Amino acid sequence: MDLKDGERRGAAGPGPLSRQGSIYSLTFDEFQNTLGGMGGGLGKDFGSMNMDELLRSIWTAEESQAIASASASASAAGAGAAGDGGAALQRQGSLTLPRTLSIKTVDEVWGDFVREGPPGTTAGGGGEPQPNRQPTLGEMTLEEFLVRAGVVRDNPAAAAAAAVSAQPVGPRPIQAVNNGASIFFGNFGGANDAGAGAMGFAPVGIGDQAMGNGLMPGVAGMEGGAVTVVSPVDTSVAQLDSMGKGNGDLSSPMAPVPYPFEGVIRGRRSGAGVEKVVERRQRRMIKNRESAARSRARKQAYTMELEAEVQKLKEQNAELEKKQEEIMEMQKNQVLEEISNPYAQKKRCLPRTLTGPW
Amino acid sequence: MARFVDPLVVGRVIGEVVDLFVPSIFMTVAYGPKDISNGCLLKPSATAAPPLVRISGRRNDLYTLIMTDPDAPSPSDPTMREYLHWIVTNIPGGTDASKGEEVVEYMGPRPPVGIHRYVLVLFEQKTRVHAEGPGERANFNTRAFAAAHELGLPTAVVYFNAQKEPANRRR
Repeated sequence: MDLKDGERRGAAGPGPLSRQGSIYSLTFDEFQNTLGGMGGGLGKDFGSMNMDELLRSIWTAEESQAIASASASASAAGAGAAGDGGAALQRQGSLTLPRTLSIKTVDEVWGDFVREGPPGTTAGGGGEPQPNRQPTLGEMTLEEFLVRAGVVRDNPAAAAAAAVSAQPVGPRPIQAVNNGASIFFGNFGGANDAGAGAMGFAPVGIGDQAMGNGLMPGVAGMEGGAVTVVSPVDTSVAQLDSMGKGNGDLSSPMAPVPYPFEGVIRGRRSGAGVEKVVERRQRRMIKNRESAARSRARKQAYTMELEAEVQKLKEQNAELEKKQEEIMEMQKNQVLEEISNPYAQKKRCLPRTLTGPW
Repeated sequence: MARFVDPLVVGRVIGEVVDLFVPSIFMTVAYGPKDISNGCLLKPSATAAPPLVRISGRRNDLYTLIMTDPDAPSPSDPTMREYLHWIVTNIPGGTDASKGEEVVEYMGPRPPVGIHRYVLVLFEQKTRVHAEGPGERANFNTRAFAAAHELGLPTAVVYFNAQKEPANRRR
């Protein structure tokens, strides 16, 4: 995959992924509603916003979403902290705009798409099915829009070429991205059906993180913005870890992985089908856990019962032994008495014989 | 004379079937020759016939015995909680359950899925009662029954576990 190709794919192939739990999967219309509902709306139509403003509003929405989900998650404290850290990171450098792009309004960018759309798709190709009807801006998802606008940094070279401004986060060689992607997809059988556009978009962050572990420990692979991490090394470890366990841990309520990470990454590498599988697996895991807890409780209850029983029997035994000893003592005394006073019994007998009529 | 209630708390019998109580009557439940301990695991085949339930207490007092399964049909999804297995009323103190009146016929444990708890709860009656069993066994509520017949808190509880036996064992 050379740079240009990567860019083309990223630009031309709209990701066919349906994602839940990320605002990037919302269309512009939906996003507008969401913003309005959260009270964070800018009171402005998106068309007239410039790209900078658009991104800022996306971040705001994303942040509040991340915080909401973090506080709802089981590991409230940990995730909350991670979410905050992540939000700060995102703002610093997750989505960077070339200066030429940032001052354009959304409408202008959209106009560009419409002009270059069809040829771009056929050139970038990759067998991506071309929608018959050109969607309107309102129907486009944010993800798609950002990818096509070149906002998302899956094509750093292109962004660098387009803009004079330096990337705040160091540009990374595409080679590394490839590695990350292949490792990742290799572990996740069945996710390879993600379209070329998604390939260009999705695994970049992961490749980054995997690479950050070994080569560039200073770079947190914040891509798409919703990945909330505290430190890059942690992320890559968690990432590799969870991949090794076949994703099982991602959905664990006890794992310290904040929700947005889960939703976005999983959504990206999977389709709706995989989502269902994961959900089923999650449900099974919860059931399994409950059942394990019941089993422990059962065992404990039985142990307690038996211990109580043992205690009771011991006490009973001690009591009986004491009684037995007393009785033995009494008998011994009686015998001793009889020995020491052999006439006692005779005396008792004698009167009878003496009082006999004979 | 009183049994220890902690196993009942840990086994969640207190909480899911009855409220916290102080045992005042000694009750033994024996399937065959052996008395069962709380929380023991029994085979359904060994519990097909009604157990011998002996209780302490005074002759003049009358007691009600209820046996239910709070884990029906499956412990992880007990939609039928509780499933009624047995009701015997008017058991005189110091005797056994066969001296009472069987209101709902004994039905042996037949757990379809998972390990079920089978709880035998003994209540002291204020007077002689003429209770009628519910129409069906599923979704019985021991607390509601006790409230309806003014039975108050239990005086003794014994429970055991049972699990479906593997099919090949029956051959």
